[in-house]
Amino acid sequence: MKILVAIKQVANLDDEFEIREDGKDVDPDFCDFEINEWDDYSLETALQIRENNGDEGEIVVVTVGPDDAEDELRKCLGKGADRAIRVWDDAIEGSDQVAIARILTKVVEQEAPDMVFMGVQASDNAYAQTGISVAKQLGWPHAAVVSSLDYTPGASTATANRELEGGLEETITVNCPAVLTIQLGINEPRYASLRGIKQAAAKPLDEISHGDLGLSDDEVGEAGSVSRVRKVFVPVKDQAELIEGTPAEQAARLAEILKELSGA
Amino acid sequence: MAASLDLTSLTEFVVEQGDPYVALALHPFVDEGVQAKLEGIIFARKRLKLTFAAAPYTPKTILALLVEEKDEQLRLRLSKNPAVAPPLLAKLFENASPAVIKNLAAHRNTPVEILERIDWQGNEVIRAALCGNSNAPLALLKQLMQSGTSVEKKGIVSNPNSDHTLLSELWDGGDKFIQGEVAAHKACPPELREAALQHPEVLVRRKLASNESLATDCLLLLMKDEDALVRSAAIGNAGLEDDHLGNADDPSIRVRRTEAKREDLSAQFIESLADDEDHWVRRWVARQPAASDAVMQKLAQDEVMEVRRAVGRNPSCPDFILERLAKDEDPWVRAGVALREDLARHILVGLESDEDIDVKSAVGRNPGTDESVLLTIAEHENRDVRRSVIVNPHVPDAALIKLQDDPYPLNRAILSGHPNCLTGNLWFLLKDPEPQVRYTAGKALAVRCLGTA
Repeated sequence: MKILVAIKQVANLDDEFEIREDGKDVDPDFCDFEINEWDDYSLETALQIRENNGDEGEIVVVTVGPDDAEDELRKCLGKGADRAIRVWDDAIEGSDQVAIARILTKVVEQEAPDMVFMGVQASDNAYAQTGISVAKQLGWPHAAVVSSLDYTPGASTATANRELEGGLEETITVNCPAVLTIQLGINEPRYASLRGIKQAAAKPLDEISHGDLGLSDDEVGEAGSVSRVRKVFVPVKDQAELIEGTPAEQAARLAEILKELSGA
Repeated sequence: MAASLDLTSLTEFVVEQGDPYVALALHPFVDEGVQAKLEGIIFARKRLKLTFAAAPYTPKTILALLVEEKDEQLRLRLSKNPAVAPPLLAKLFENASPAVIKNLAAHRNTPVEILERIDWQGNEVIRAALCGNSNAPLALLKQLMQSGTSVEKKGIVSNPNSDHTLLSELWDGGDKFIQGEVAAHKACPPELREAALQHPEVLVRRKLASNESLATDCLLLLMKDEDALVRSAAIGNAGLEDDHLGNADDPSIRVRRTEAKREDLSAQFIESLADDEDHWVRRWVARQPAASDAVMQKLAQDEVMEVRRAVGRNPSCPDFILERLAKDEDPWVRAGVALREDLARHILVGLESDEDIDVKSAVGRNPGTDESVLLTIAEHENRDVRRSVIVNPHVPDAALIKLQDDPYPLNRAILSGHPNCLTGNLWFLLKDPEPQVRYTAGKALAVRCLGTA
């Protein structure tokens, strides 16, 4: 059994930040970086499946990201993943979700896992498209927003509950191998033990480029993307009022505003 | 070197490791030559500078260096950092941008002479910040009052430096909200207190009733107010002496709850509140140290679990009641008993084998718990249960050594900052993956090194 878990190092903004000179992203000096929260749940799902399988099987974590992203891969190795792959080259900079999915698809083809787990979305860009895009490019079955999963390694199908709008859930069966995007709350992610973190330093972490996967420069970065970020900016704040005072004062002011807006 | 208390060894270790968080922790404790080496680590990246400029834990020695920088983003962060001292804020004021000035106007440490120099004309945000700054002197508040908007007046009326003249002016032109704040102000003049006492608005009378400098006769009148909120505020007023309490029959639950919460109730009054239909009243009564054994015995059989727990938490609760509560069907009640540091050994022994996690946590904190039990709790599968052992004053060293490797970061963070933490633990935690843990361990080690030097 092999499960491939794709993760992303995401940026958390400071209260005050500056936009990069090219205007297309936040200056990384004003960000803290950490693993995407959804990916923690994906990895935990994989780890639990392996534990329930008598600790048999391999878990491979992969990310597309620069040198700093290695920190997140090491944390995953510290939690119990067996191997990690980091794909990067300066030409990958500027890739959109489709170009990233193209790279991940090549990794999946190379690794040939039984399952691919990804987070529903990344907390920084929130596209929620990469996982499904990987499934599309692979031509594999997929299920998005998985909130519970019944999968036995080696089985030809997996049964998943998906979260829908309005509090509804849908139970579906997908053929394996499949790509599943995992929702928050599906489990309780573990913390890496210090022993695990130390052991992680000795675990294999492959660094490869898109070229190693057989992709040309035209297939990654802006050239290989179907969308481009034109501008990142802080929108001009419109009318807003912070209502202060005691609850009674606040309620009185709120009533006043409602009357004004309704023309009463 | 592993468990030594030698500052030189520690600094050598930090320089070798190049950890900015431990270097930050050590910086105030070392001489200038070593400080320079540490600064190379602390300021290695712009990101670190930005982080430390905003962090309230950053030592004064580092803040003093950061203040010298011209970078606007650094200055913005420093001007909001509550740890930045008055002289450094004064330095920031030199060539400050409007955004930094706005922050300085609101900062609680900004010196008066700087607040007086801030140009507030034509800038609502700065004016509002100055009005609400408890350092703003009376003369400045008076100037601000002249063109004050309603928001600014709200700041001035709540400012402790406002005097009776300013408060009178605010009262005259103010709405009920402003007048209420005037009534609650410690400098509220007597004639306005009288006016507030007779005020038709409940809000104004309630705010007056919360004024801790109010005379007893005024509070007694407010205790008879027709509105329950006003009566409740008067009864909750810390300035009211307990011998003026005694009406357990107030029709308002809110009033009776406030009465039950006071810490100075007489045994007789406690008894009359103990039969209250509201379980929150009974709950507070059950925690009153002056409650008689008979009252506690009755409340120990209350149908509401929180009331029974409150009896178990009462410092005056006798052993015969605690024995019964230690066998209560509800684990939260048993946990309340297990938390007692004065618990008789024979009762605690019975709780040591309880499997509920709340009881287990309480037993883990209890200094009377047997060492062998603490060692078992330190290995419990629940991370919150394991944490309880760290704060136990009699925690065995073996348990602390186990817990230094705890997978849950919060447990290691608590350990690194706790007096129980062994010197060996601290050295181990200097390599922790969490920056907070490394910083706290580094600081604790430095303090211990100097303490033994």
